[in-house]
Amino acid sequence: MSDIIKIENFKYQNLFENLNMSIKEHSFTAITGPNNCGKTTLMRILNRAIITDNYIKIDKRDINDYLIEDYSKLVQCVIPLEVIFHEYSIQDELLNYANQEEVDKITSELKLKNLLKKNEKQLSTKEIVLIQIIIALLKKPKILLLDNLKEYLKEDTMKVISFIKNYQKDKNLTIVIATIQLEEIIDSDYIYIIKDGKVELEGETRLILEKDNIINKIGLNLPFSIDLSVKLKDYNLLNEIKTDNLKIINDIWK
Amino acid sequence: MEIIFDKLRKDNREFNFTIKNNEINGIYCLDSKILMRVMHFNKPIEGKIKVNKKEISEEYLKEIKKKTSIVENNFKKYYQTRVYELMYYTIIEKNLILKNPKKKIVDSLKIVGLNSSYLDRQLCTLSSSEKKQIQFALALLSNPELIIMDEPFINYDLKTSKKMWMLIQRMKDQYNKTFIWISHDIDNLFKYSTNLIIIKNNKILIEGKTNEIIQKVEYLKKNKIPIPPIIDFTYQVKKEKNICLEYHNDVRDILKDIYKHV
Repeated sequence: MSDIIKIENFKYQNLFENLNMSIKEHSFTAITGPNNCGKTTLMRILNRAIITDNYIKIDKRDINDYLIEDYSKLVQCVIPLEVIFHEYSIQDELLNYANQEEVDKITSELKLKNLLKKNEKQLSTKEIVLIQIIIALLKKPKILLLDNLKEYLKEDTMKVISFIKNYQKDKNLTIVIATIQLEEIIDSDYIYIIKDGKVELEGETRLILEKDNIINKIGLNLPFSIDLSVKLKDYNLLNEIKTDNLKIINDIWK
Repeated sequence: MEIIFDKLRKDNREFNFTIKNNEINGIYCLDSKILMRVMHFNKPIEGKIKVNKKEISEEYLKEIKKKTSIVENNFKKYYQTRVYELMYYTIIEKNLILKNPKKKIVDSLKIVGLNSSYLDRQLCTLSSSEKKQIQFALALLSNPELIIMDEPFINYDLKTSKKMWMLIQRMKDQYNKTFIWISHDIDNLFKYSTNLIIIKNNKILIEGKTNEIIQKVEYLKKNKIPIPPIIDFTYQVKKEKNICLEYHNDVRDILKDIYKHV
């Protein structure tokens, strides 16, 4: 797989100093890091909501070289609640981006058909974010950027992420997700952890999550089952990292 | 401040629960919107509210409102505003009589760990954790007795959440503040609240001391309330292997306990 996003020696204000990243095509990549490390700013930069100098290439072209309409076909970004609805009803809004069949399909898969007749003011913040995700997917981009979903999607976050992941397989989408909650990104392929303006740690997700001490030192909280199994592995009470409590129990007390 | 909500009706839902004085009262609920409306003490209110054992009249309600601050979840309304203007506007809006408003603003920021350089920042340039800290600083301007927080800790890393928790503990212990913390974040509710109310389908499922509710995992599971994975682990060890571990909040403590039993 080739690199679809390439960031080289990127500098931006006091936030980023020599940032380097290569995100593979069709991958599910996570960007994480402590508070104020610039996760949302990086999402805005990749979405060209903040214009910067030429350090970032998407699909081997500099991001500033794309026309706005071409860029929106290439990249869609969901930053919760940063959306403008143009139509009165949600149904009409979604029909701006796809036909009725596609709208029906995606809303019934996410069990959101009841929202179609509503308007923006009748939606909860969670529902607005879900509609933002649907709009982004209906626009059929090559790259989908997602930022800080858990604050608004709450207990539905994992369900929505697994839906997007299945969608990714069908449509060859590249997903980049920025979050501080590591449980959201257990299923990602690759992780970048940003700290003090540069990439502090990067690698395949499973390998990175085993570095419990470094991750805690950076200020992030490992999901319980992973944290426990990493520590049990260090004590030779477990052979491999597990994400399920019951599997851990059955392995310790065989 | 102790508050008893007795058959309080709002939007066709009925609430009966007690907010304990000088405690961190966690409320687990998935839809915080209605509950937050209740907490604003806005009319119309059907039913009774007793504050410090006194039933509230119109006059008393005004007094209670003055002693209460709400840490809201977001402030998208004032997106372009500077932090200083937002805080000054809050002072005017709440009719706070302060000798030196600027000093109070700087002090409130300092308490939550932000320096005065934040005064000139526009809200849209703040990170999500900074926005939460500003919300907290706003709530402190009126020196409230009761602080109501809507999902306050969802965006914090370990360092910031520890700092904010120490602040809340200090305010509770040294300055006798009462906290109401409405959230869906069951892990942190179990970890940090001292009194816990669990709401399901707009009904109170259970309320009591958090360390007593932890023991009722079976009941919570039966009612499909999510359990923090660390609590669930201890429960499953007992159920599957009949081994009694203690309920812990730290993975290192549970690790020591496991080591004793293998």
